[in-house]
Amino acid sequence: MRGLLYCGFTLNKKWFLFSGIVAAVGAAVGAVLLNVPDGEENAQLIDTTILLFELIAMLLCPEWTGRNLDANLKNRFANYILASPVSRNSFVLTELIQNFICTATGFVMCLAMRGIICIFENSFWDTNHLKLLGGMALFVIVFNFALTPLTIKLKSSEKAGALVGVIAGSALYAR
Amino acid sequence: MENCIEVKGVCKNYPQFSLKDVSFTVPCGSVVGFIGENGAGKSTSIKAILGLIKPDGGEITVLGENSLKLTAEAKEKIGVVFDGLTFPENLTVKQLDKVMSGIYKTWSSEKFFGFMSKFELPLNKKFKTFSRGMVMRLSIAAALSHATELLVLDEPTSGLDPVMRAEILDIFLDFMQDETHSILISTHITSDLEHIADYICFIHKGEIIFTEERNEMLEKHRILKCTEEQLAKIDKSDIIGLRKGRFQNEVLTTKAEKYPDIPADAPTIEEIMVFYVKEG
Repeated sequence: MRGLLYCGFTLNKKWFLFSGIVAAVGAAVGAVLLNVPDGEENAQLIDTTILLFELIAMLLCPEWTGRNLDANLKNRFANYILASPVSRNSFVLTELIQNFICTATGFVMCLAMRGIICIFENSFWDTNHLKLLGGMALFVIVFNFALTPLTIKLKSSEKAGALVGVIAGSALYAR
Repeated sequence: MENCIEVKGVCKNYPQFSLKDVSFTVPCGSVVGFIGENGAGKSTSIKAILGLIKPDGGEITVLGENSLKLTAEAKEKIGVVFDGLTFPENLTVKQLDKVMSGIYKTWSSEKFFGFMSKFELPLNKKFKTFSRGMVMRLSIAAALSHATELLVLDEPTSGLDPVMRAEILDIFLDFMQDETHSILISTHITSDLEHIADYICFIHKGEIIFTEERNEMLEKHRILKCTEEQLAKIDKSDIIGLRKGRFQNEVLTTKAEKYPDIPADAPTIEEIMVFYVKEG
């Protein structure tokens, strides 16, 4: 498992960097917008803009683990690993751990971004919004927990994503 | 342990293809060449042996263990080479060494880098810049850099030039210097097996046609070069495969002694395979 985790994070490291860059840019944009004269419209614009940056920062990291898994299934690296002393359960668990760590990293990037913006405006450290962020992170983790074994089974992240999306969409529609 | 791989009555069904009652063994200390045309079932059989797919019937034993329940200790002894680049293309040799040392307890970085030096492979370039020959040498080095006793090779020389193929076959011969080592090599390049295989197992359309000791197989088969008249006199049941030509016909048979008047040539493994595929 150690080798697989090293492999995953070695291949993924640039996406952590991108996520960090997005968070830094989001913080800078937020700081700039906060210096624009106040107005209700402006507050909504700042909120929406920062939320957008948060979404991107949070989703960049785990997005690439899914693509890596898809590539590994297609280029037979997954077969190679399963023929090695790594068990199937360890392989799946490694993918889930990577997804969890990546999503958690994205969440921390968002917190850092919001923390920087709070230097300029205290009210941005809003517990409701932080709960929303935590909920988003949890949703991404649960979604990937469902997606990863399906991707391995179907050998395609697109098919697995489509299937999970249809099921989740149908469940929401039914509610 | 007499056989390091035992495949007994394995069946696997897909919509367009089936493995039907596949049975063969890889005796310990031997090289078994697993031959067949493209789509014959070689890779499917290899995947079943490695426990990557579950057969619909039959059983497979590898190093004395059920292939679907291979322990980590058994897998440490199996080196695998698949056709083409198996590793993530954005990794480098140094990074791959760290990945593999975290996967195999018996991984030897010293051995691995020794191979890298011998094969003249760059340590810091991404695999996507490697040529096909470099990729295969890398895969073979990785397969040999832990406590490998059994090599399972799926088309390891496919797409390589003759010089590279000879070099790689020499590496396999080196590996076989240890009598406890065994190789199962799946290939459609039969000329590679002329030099290293002890046994030949031929699969066609998902069925094993024969599994024989190489020299015995080559001795048993003959190609009869005959005219139309002579062809008419050959018993149909003695014809394994027939190739009609403008001036003469060629018949593959194991009963050449029944036709002493017809000139007979010794076939190559490739010719035997082609005749069996073409049939009578």
